[in-house]
Amino acid sequence: MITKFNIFLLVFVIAIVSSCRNNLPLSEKVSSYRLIDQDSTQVTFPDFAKGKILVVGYIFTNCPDVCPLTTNNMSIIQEKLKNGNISGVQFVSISFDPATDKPSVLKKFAEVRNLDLSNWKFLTGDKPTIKKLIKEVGVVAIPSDSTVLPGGSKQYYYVHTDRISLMDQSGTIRKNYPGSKIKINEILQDIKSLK
Amino acid sequence: MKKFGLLFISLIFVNLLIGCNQEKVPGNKAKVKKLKNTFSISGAWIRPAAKNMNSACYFEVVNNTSKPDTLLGAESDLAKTVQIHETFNSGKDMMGMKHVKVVPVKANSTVQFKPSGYHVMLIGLNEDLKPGDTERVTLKFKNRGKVVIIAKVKNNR
Ligand SMILES: [Cu+2]
Repeated sequence: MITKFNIFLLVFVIAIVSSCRNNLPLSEKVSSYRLIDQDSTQVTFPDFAKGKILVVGYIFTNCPDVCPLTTNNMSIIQEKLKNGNISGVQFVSISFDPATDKPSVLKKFAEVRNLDLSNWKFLTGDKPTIKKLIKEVGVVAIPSDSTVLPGGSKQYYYVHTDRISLMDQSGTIRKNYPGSKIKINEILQDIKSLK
Repeated sequence: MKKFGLLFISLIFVNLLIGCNQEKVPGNKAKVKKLKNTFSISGAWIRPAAKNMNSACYFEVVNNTSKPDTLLGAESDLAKTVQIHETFNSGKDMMGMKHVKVVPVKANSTVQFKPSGYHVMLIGLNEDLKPGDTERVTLKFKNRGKVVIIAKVKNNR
């Protein structure tokens, strides 16, 4: 009887442990990339945040709908962490449209939304670096529809992966979420489990 | 032994609770009285965005009449170009958007322009749109003609 009960317990211990593992299913170490932030300061990603948990969103600023949603969700996560006195989390938004998203453009994008940049960086870089980075993390961005503005300039809109990534203190991706539709409580729990 | 059993059952319970903890998304739908024979635009808002960048305007077209209509487009002094767009999911969490020429509004129906769906896209803003601002956008309907809407600028989901 006791043996049966022990087996019963063992099965549940395994179930619980494996369900905890599934909360953070990934373990993808990300290489170092030399990028530039909204203030034109050089930043080595993800090394600059070593020892901190990273919440990373992928955006292009010409996007009017999906990327602002992702950005807004990150701002909600940031505020909830602040209210819960949880520190040691760094926010990063990386542009996959470096031709448009110069540091000054990223800065304006953040400023007009009243974002708190105390633990949030907007990063861009040269084209080959960004291309390599998004490929490594599995973000796809394909220019598709475009609009020609009066005056002749052309804007491209990307079909792109809707993504927020959670990275641990060693710069390893532990989980990906659909950025515009992320469940705030889910990532908050995941962040707490990394503390 | 019983103590352990109890501990594990409560652990499972906590696990279930965490798993079921879903975010409640606050709706920004304005309460609209279902008046008969009315055609109205409600809950209009615009995302903040900086000059020369793009933004989107969201609202609801509430058609409580027996006549269908068609949204043909929109215009505004806010931007260089104004178009109706639709965000789409092309699978594997790949999101994109496309220009839509017209949006039909059936009799006795509501059409939502909301994040991740239809939006009136303001392309190449002439000025910063900051949270708290109030702006005007004109919608052009086939039967009703032009309808001016007042939209609040705010960060929203
Ligand atoms: Cu659009």
